Amino acid sequence: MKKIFLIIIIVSGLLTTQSCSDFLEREPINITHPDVFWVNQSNAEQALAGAYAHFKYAYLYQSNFLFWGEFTGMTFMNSRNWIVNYIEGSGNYNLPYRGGTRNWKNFYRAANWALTIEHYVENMDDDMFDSVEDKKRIIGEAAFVRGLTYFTMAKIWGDVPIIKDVIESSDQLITDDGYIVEIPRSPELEVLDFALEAANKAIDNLEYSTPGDARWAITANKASAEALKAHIALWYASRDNDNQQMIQTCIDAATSVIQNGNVRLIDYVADTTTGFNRMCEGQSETGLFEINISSEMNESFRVSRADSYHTGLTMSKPFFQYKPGGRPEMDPNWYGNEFMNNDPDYANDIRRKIFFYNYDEDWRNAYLLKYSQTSPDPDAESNPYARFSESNILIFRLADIYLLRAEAYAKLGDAGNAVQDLNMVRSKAGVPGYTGATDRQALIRAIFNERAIELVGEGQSGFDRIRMDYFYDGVGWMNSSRIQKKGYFWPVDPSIISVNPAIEQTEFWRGKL
Amino acid sequence: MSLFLLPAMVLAQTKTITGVVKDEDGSTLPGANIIVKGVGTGTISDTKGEFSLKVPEDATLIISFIGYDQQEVSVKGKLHVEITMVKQENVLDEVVSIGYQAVHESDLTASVSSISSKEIESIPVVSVSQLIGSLATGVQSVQQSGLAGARGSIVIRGNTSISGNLDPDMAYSSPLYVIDGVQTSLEDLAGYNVSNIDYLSSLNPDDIERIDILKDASAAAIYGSRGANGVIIIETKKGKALSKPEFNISANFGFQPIPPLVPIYVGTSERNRKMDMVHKWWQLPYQQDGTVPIMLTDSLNPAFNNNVDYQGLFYQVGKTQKVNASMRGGAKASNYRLSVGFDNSEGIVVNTGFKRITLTSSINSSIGKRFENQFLAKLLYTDQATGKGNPWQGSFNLNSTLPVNPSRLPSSLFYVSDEQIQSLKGELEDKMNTDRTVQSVFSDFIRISLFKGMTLNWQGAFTFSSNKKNFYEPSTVRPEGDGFASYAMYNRMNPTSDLYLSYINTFKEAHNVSAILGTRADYNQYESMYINAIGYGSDAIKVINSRYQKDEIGGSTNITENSLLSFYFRGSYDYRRKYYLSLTYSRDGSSRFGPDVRWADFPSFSTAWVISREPFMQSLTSNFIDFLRVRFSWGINGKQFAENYLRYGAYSLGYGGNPYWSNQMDVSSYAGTTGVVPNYSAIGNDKLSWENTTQWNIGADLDMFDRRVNITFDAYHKLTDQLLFNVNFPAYSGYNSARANVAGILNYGWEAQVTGRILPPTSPLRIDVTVGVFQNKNYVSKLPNGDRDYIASNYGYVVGRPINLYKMFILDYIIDDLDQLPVNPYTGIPLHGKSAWAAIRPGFPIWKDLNGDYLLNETHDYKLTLDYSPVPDIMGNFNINMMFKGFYFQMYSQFSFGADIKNTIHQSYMDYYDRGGTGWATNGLVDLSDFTFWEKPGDGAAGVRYPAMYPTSAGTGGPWYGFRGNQTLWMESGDFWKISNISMGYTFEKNSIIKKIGLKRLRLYSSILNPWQWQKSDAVPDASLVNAKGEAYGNGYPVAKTITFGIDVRF
Repeated sequence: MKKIFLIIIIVSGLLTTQSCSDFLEREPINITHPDVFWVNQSNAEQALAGAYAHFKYAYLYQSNFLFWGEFTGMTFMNSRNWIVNYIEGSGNYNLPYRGGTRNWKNFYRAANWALTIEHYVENMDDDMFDSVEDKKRIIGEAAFVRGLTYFTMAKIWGDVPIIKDVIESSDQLITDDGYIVEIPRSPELEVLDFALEAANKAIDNLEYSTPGDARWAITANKASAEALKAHIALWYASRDNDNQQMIQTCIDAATSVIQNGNVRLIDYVADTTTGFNRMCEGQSETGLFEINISSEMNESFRVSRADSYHTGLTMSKPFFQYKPGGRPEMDPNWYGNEFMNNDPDYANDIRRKIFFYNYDEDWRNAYLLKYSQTSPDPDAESNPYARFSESNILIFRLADIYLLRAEAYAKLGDAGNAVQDLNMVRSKAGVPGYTGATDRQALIRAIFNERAIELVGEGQSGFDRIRMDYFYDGVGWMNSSRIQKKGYFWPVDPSIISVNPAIEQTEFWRGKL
Repeated sequence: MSLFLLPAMVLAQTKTITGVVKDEDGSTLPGANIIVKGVGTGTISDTKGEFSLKVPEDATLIISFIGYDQQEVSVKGKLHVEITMVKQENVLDEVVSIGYQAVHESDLTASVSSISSKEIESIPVVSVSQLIGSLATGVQSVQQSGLAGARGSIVIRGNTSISGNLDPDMAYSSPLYVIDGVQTSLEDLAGYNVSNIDYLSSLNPDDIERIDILKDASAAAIYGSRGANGVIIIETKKGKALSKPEFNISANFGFQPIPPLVPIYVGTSERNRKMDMVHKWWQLPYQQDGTVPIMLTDSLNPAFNNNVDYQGLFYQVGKTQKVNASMRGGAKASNYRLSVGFDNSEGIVVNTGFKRITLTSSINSSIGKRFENQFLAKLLYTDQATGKGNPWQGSFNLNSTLPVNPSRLPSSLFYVSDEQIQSLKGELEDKMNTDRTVQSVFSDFIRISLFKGMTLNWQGAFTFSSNKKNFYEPSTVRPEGDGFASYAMYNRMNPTSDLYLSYINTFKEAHNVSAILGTRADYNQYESMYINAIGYGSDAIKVINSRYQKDEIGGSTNITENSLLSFYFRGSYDYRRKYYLSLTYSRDGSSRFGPDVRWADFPSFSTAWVISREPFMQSLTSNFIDFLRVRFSWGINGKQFAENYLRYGAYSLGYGGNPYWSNQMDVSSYAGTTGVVPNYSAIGNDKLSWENTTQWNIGADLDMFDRRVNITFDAYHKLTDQLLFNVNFPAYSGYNSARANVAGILNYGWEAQVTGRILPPTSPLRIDVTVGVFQNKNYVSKLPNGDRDYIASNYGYVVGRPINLYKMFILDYIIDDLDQLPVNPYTGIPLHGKSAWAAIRPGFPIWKDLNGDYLLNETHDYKLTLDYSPVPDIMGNFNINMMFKGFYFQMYSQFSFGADIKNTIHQSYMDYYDRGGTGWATNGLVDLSDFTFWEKPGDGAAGVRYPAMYPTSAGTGGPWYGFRGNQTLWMESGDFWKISNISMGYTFEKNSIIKKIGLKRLRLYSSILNPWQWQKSDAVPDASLVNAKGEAYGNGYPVAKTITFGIDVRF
């Protein structure tokens, strides 16, 4: 018996001395992870900055925003760039070395992270924040980024998968037997609903801001969210047979922006280049949402004439020391230049002088100046061409909202209000009041034209053509059969489909990649 | 049955005799067989070597113990006997460590290969890892470089290492090492990746007593969670009770002649050959219009008319020195061993080498009969010279930093300044480059005997190793004229505690029982620090000090940790050493895994039947069979991954989302706030868990003809499941890819080893021959996404096929005439390449048009090929040991057949010629006159070896990329047979003339490492030097012959 007791004592000793389960809990001190991160406002703010940064990356990567939204519109810049030629020349978006334009992964990084922030911040205690308003603001801004991201994807691809869960573990992506969890594309109206819901959530949680605030326009305020909402609603209406309710939603949101947003139009006539540069550098009185580019904040880049930079795709010598390979030109036969030259209203448009370099003097060497605001690179001061960009990427601004509301009025048949909004924008550029026909088609054309010149280079005209269903003028390769098959949307990269076979290629692009 | 009845019949005249069995040194021998002659009853000595037995009054006992000469002792008139057993010369049955316990080879139920110190003592290697493959069947020694001490790999029963992002230098499944009870898996060695040193280089081979390689699941089961790739148990030499201290001193020195190098043209001959090519292939206008690189045409320019023999700069005769001194002694209650070793190898490439100093000590103490203690302390210092250097943190591959790759040498025609030459040699006076490791291991082992057969054991060990690298690159060799200094440090701290009960007993003289029950805790902490600075100043100062401004200095530190907890049990039983059964169970938990999946169970069992001990076999066995056993085992083992925090979804700090170049500006914020984002390259997964291997093994052992022939055969089936494998994530997740337990690999095969003593024991000449052969079949058994083929850049995996398949264009023919091209019947256009490639010309390689679209391109014709595999079919070893009185001769060899390897060396060399540009002119020219190239129509049909090699330029129509790497043109046979060692010597034993000079033993010997290799391929320099993807190492660090002379003295 003595032996047995001895054994029992030793065995139980064996099992207890080293079996402390804490021994296997090793909390890392070299990484931060979800279990320990969401503990204070500062961390939440940093996460939010990360969400904006992801959107910035997705939007600017290889200057894709110009490929998606600008060159597809074929309004002003005949860029003559060999890659752009896939769009402007053939309407074939198969960019062999720029497959990145077809991949939505970067957008999902922004959207999923924004959703994660919303989820975690909502569950954080109020007293972890300086004020409840701060907590709400962070939630609202995250919702804004998510809504903006989904809306951008809906504009580029139409139907995209909707991710409603916070993805944090590979378990959510792989089934037990090693299959990828397949998620198909949701119909675009559902995507827009999802984006709209996020925009509403942002509006509910955000406050209006004022110019001069350090974060004015480069992070979202209530007016930014309303601008987003107005955009989503009008896009929705256009994708849903002029859904009247959505048009009204657009008008209401736009009106709220105009009335409450503390924004003003830039008067190009009065302020000329100063006003233009102020607008482009950003955080001006007219900005609603912009991507921040600022060397002072260490958030800039060295301007380059490479065609993977929006600077390289829009500018030429003498801004650069040498001409870029496929530099842009303002071809007089192009859509935008045609109306600017033929429509007498635009003869004295001051934007000809302040938006462009040498627009009227030498069209072959003319180029856009919206990304020309720079400061010297202090690490290469001897080189005058070594410069950091100071031009924000303008996403929403007041002129855009006026014209959006004009379009909504036009679609409701309210020509009076439509013309009034249109003229508001025209007046700031020295363009006389609109006197043309007031039928819907004519108004849409006038509004499209005004948007084309006012927002040139801001990645809008390609999407405007879809929303306004305005393809046949100026876009040689578009036709009704292509429109029927949604050939105005971007193709989905085949690598996306091979990993997630539930994704179906957009009809027009099937068999073409 | 009659045997069992006999004792009863003679009961009347019995007495009880007690005894103790000892060896020549006075150590007791547990487990000796004691049989009463003519009666058949018997017993086995217990753990203290004691026995008691009822015997007839005038009985004679037969005492046998495997490995010792059998003895007969009369007990007439005695009640107690003390028996001293004499060790047999011919030792075929030794004690084998199976983890926590040792058993006799004849009691094994599992598959174990053993290597004794005798087999390796006269081979002057720095690390035994390169010899293991020659000495154990079923084990592959993968060598990757000829540098002493450099990293190699040991693979037991087939590689299971796969990855979606394969590092072919590292992709081997490494076993668990247990050195004197201290367990280390390579996953534990954070420093392994940053230094090029082989793990077993940390051990002085002279200190090794014995190596046991546990190959099957039941053997490895006691190390459950870490045994999936097999276990290598190494016992070092320990102290011993001796009447007076014993000293062993050994010294050897050797040299490595410069091996045959790739022949390279130097000077005028290079120019002439290259101009010949231009004249032969280029049209006249292009020969004259300045397309020919000026370095070839301007033969008077001193910049281009040199004859630099780069290889002559880099190679030297290598030198090795080794001195080892040890002493041991002490009494039974307390004894010791101390050993000091020094190794110095200067490699055959300038400024490469390895220095090592080891100190190994052990002290055994015991108090009474119940308490024993063994203290071990080991110190290690290594200093590796790595040529051009390895200043950076992270994975380091020596192969990539050598300047000697023949396919990357510059043209001999260029002018090279003395300083550049110095720099190339890595010897520039001001350049500092050190890579040093200090490691200390302390271990204490306590055994307390509780009662008969039962002991309580504890081993605590503490390992601390520190790898440090100092690097300075002076301004004179840096194009910017600044200086670069760096310092890197990697520390690993590993305390472990292992507590277990051990029990061994025999009941009723027939039932032998042993058991182990224990628990083990293992903790690792890793610290690293890296600092570098780039700036201007004096090259005399090579450290980072105040001359660097704040923003010129960068660095980082890191601390991570992991822990492992195990509970284990093994119970073994045998009946009269005939029927064996052993059960092992281990339950392990690891901090690397999430709480839900942290614990796993690793069961196994094994069984054996010693047929030769059956009575019905007696008539047979007495004739020629001494021992016959069959074995079967089954079990599950596990493996962890190396990363400590893979289960966490980590967030990255300082993300600014800037997609453009920003010069010195560090974009890490948005709107002024530092960005935090998920690490989209690694997703958290707290379900990541053990990789499991289920293995069964069936084996047989046979000793015949008075143990002159020994045959061991094993067949196994090893399914590794839940292997971590990269899964590409859908774009909607934002994540790129991450690893999950989703893949599987099956290895099955057989191993056979035959050892024979050719001449009868009576012959003074003894010749032992060992032949080992093993065949391993390797298959991918499971892949993610419903076994979808995984295709990476130039390799891939297909279920049902071996690992690491080649992705290639398939060479169809070398074209003689454009009429050979098939014509598309619909378009009338002949087969052509994609538009970026030149038009097809005679002499080009034409690849198979796999999809039949008459267009060759990567999309459709560059595919995984199932016809080749880098995995060998048959491997093995063939060893000879000869002895004649004091003379001995050893020859060890290993072979491998059936692997297909890729001649990346010829490829990277020829590729310059069909890439456009002037790389062909500015790089050196290898003499390829042994190989045939297409030169004229008809050569293709005649079966010429290589396509036309002509320098591509605009004038020749641009490149076809005909020497691209991934095509079957480069496939070579990986068959080789290499002798890894020949050594011979003469040993004077204690009763010879050396007695006069006071020596106990004197041995003089000579050895040649790597004396000879046969290989089928005539194109790769060494078919045994390939990486896991089968790519031949072309770095120019051959495995050179080492000729060594040595002396061992014992007194």
